[in-house]
Amino acid sequence: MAEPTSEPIIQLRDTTKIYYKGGEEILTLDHVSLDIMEGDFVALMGPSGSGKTTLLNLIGGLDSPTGGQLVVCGQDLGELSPRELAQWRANHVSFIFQSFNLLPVLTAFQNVELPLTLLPLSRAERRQHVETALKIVGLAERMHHRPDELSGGQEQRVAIARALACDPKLLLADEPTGDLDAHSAQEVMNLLTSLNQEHGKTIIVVTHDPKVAGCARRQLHLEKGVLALDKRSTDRHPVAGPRA
Amino acid sequence: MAVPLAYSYRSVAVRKGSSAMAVFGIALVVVVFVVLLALAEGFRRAVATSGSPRNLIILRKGADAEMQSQVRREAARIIEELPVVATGGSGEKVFSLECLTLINLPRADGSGDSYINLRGASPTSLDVHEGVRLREGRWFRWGTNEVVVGAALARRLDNFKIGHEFVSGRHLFEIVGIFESDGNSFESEIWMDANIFISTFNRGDVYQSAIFRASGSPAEALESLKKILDDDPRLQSVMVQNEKAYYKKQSELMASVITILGGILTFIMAIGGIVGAMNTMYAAVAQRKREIGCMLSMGFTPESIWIAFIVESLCLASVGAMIGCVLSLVFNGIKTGTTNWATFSETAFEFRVLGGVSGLAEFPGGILVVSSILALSMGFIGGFLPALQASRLKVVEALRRA
Repeated sequence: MAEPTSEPIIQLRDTTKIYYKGGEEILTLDHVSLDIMEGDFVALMGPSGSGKTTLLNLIGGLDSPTGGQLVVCGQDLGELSPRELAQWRANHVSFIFQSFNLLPVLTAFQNVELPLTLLPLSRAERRQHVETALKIVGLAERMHHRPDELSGGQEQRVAIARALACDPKLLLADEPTGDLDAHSAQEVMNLLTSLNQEHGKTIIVVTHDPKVAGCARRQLHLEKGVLALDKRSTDRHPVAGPRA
Repeated sequence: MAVPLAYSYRSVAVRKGSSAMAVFGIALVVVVFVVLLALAEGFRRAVATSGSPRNLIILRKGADAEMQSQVRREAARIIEELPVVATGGSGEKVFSLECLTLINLPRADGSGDSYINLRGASPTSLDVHEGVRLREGRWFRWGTNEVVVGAALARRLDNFKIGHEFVSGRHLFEIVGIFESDGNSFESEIWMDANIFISTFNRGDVYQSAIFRASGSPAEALESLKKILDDDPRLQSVMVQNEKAYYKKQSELMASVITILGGILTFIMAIGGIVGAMNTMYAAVAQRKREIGCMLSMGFTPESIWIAFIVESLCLASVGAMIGCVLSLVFNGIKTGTTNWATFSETAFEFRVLGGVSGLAEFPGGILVVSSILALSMGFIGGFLPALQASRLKVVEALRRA
């Protein structure tokens, strides 16, 4: 079982994010300082509008901080141009979304292959990566199915395979079980937990669900853009349940 | 790195209704454009291919067409004796003095009169006009009011059949044969004996043209004869040109008019097609914001998103182009006719959908290629702004759930 290292993969120092809407300033993240270690499994919690998704987007390089410093995988993201940031995302981070965001016109195989086309890999190497990722999520036999031929849980597992395929250090998931029934949600969380424990992936999950948060080693609670609680869990929910 | 092509072309089929409307709009423009170009090409080919590149034609100086020309027998005989005129197998010069006039004849369907070229031919006319051959009946007998009618004219006018008679002015003519000439404009003429023509229409010793086979290289013969015409005081009233070039010029005015009017019509219709494609693509972008956001989050650049949507729009246009081209094939070979504004005579021709575009794509299928390029251009223009909108989406905004 992999444990978090003592090396921080994410460092926030007085990181601030301000949005402007209708001439009004909205402070979404207020001087947040935080270290997340490589191999950790972190749940970001808090009420709606507390800044969870904003923090996740900043860590994933989808947005830029208004102030402070943000270093992820050894790179100060504030120093990168939008093009460099896109390249950085392709190499270091993958996202899992609440509504899966699979491309409906592509098969499971092609969806998983999509981010790999951004990397310098041969067709055969890409195929190998895709097959491995689909095997890990237990959907190798459904690789030629389109999203509309899969259940919600299977779609999310394909989305996880897509996130895994590039072998990123960092997996960021925004409400990954929000659109799933309890059984599928359990399967997805089992999968994420095993990715963290067996493959050493650093995982950050935004969630409202205490059961989901219970899978994480560390729980961060945000309120009004401020880090209100940083709790390390000693009692993690066990990985259980069948994989469909 | 570009978004895979499969994403673009498969997305066309996702919004079936609006994609079908956009495809239909583009296909319609393609059909109209192809048909108009086929019309212009059919006319151009019928007229421009009438002349032979081996022949030279003598006309009155300054005359734009045979109808405006007057060539005196005396001047023609001087030229006939020159070595630039080829000699046939029987030792006779391949040289034809020809008369031409317009006669108006009622159309069989009662839709008005047609102005028809009536040509007075000489015994050597068939040697000069190589492609002209009898299809039905027999040739007219010399010294009679018998005539032969071009095949295209016989097709267009129901009352022009072998055995029929027609009256022009105070003269009665009997149709004894139908000739063909590889679909060129001679097939829109009536031919008769030049000597009877002259006495019937009181032409004296004036002909409209003298046409002859050049001896040796036509270009060298042309230059040589031009010099002779310049130098000989008896030949100051006439000029010479290559027969092929003459007929090509005859076709240009009308073909240009059809092309320009067709171009204006197509332009107006194309705007509609572009707007249709644009609407479809804007709807596609609005519907797929989260997909765009997802691709941006993976590391695809805004440029690759732009290309993906442009390719999708081009796929839409390609389907429209294919459907339009296939539909327009129905018009290929349909026979029609119009008044040639250069000669004011009725010229029959056929739609040539599989023909080329003069001066632009002069090869078989050129019309379909040019029309397909037009369709793709419509797709590109129609898709440009929606693709730009897609590429400019902020990833965080695009990923936000509605």
